[in-house]
Amino acid sequence: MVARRAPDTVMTLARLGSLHQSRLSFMRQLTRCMANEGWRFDRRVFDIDDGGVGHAVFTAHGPARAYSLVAFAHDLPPEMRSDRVIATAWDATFALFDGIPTQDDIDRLSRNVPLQEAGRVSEREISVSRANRSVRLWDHIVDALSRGQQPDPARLAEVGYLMRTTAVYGSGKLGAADREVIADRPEMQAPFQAEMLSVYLTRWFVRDLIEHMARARGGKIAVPLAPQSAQRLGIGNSTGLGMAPFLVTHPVLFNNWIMAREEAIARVRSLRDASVAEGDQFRAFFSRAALSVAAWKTEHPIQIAKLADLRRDVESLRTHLDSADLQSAAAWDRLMRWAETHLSLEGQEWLASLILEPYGALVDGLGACMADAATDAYVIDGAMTVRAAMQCLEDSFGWALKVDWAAPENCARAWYVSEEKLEPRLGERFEEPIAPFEQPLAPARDAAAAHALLRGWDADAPVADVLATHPAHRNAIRRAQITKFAPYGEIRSNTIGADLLPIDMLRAKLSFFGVTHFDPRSDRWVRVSMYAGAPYPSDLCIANADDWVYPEVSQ
Amino acid sequence: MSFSLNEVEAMARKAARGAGFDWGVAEDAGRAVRWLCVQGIDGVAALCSVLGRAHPDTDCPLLLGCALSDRAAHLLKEPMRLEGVAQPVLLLPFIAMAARQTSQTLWVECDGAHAVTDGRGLAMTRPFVPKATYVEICVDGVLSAPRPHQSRAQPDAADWETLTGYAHRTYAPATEDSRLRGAGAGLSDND
Repeated sequence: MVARRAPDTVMTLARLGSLHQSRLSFMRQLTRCMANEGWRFDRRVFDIDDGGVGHAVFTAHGPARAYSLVAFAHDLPPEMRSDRVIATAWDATFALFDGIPTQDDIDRLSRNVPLQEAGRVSEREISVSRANRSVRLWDHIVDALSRGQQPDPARLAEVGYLMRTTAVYGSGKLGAADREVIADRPEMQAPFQAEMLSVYLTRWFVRDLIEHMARARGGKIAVPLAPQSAQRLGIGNSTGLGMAPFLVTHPVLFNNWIMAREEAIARVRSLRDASVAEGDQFRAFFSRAALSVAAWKTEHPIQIAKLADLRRDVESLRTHLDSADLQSAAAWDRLMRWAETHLSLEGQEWLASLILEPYGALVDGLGACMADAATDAYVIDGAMTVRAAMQCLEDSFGWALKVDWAAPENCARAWYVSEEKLEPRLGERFEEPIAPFEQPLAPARDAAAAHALLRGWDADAPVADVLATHPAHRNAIRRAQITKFAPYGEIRSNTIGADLLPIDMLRAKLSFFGVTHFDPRSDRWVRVSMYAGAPYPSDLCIANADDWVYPEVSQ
Repeated sequence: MSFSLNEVEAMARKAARGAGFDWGVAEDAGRAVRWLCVQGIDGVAALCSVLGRAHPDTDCPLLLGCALSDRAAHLLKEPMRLEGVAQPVLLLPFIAMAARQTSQTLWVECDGAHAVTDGRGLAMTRPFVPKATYVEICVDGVLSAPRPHQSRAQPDAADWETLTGYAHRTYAPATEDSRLRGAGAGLSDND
């Protein structure tokens, strides 16, 4: 058996910032589940005027329950269009309703959902979200369709989506249902399934909305968007720092995601041999995934360089695969070992996700292990000895114990929450008056401080004695204990250093959602694409439920 | 107003931090208030009255609660007795943590009122006093007729406002510089 890769290898921000979607991604888990269970979808309401203002209801019917996207379309002045948390108005706003809403529900939501953070929803809502148009693509498509023409495929490919979501809230935010309310439902078992469903239905709404706008302008001359073009369009997502702390504040959940993927990789690497069919399948997925890499566009220097590396990696792999015998002993393990010395981190992680593709039966079940059911993980074991606690700290933060945390470059940044609409931000500790407001998002620094404290204690004393007089170290001890059973729970890089790239944290999380085409707008802001290539609900079936993420190679 | 339990927990955590507790204690405070709300007990009100006091104080139920949970294993050897506890109802979530850690049902006596918890469920004879002269905890009792669990909380509006005020102390005042740099945007979204 090939062991899972070591946390020291996997959990650096450089590698986490190079992760790619895989079979275990939450979007793919959702579309597989819905296709396997034969979900039905219907558009119950589409009450939108010629100016593009109104509401619509799209319902997904599962075997036991229905979920409805209640969408509100708005007329947004351009000067109000912002993807940031500080925005107060959007092109469209949404709630995912638990069941089928009555008119009273819709009336209630119409008074609250368009306000987003300034509104309130209830336990009947599972998710609240909003989206802004891609202005240039929207106008181009409405214009083309209204004149009876199809839009320019090059312009579709350039942007890739008609609207981008700028927040998709769940888990009790704004008064919505807590995770516990839905956690026992089989269809909601994997993480973020409600949010992923909301976005999937949003993509449908957005297509219908733009065709409606084209008809409003062009009347009978207007044509619908060609199905092939529509399928290539995803929903964009624009994400800032608000997402980054999540990985630090949910160590058990993050561990479960990484652990599932690492276990999947290890299982495939442990196969003694691949069949001819599996080898062919892999080569086919390789070709399709390479097309996706070729179509990936970004203007940010960091990602431009990483993308250049990845494209070189793809060509190296192509050459290597020309002569590689995938039917020979331990072919996948040998391929991964070759990658370690021949490919960049982008390429290594791209390959690691790709080798899982022929092995759904072997790895897809791991998707069920990615939720966090260890509700008592945070309970501190005060009977643990100082010696054992120090060992936990050394195991997970060995690297951090060697860092000079007093050196300005190692603690140059501080995470804080702004008074202004509670926007999470990252500041310069030595240039801005933010240190008193620092959020607890530097577990490595805190672990080093706790370790230094424990060195002065009797090794046989229980940590309860230490914490009774030093409550400031409570979180460091808690997290150290969690890593005993959650070895992939901690980022093993500095989260407050001068060289921190928060987009690495965003990418790690977004890759598990299953997004593609990471396009950073700065070191702390990224746009991505969701569901590009996916069948629309009316076309979803077992045959197309999973591999839509890879473009088809044209004949 | 009806709040989700996640909202209650997040607010309690931030408020405890804003009132001066360390982040680790504040985290436990957030979970404690949430647990009380699940039991249908107004944890928000209890936290409010604790945060308004000087601390650290020897009768602080948050610090006593953390210490109690950290020493859960001691309960297997002998009962624990605490003298002088403010808002002793806030000890219950920590006693519940101890019950789960030791897999025992714990029996609590607080100035003559009794409670029993197996860590998840709770039964109480009557509300705890605001300031207890003593709280005694031991392995004993049977949890019959536990309180029904709640999935929402309806705290008093004034209490919620109080917690909001403490939580506000954790937010950095906005400056134009931080507005532009801190979130890393600054590009137009009208593209």
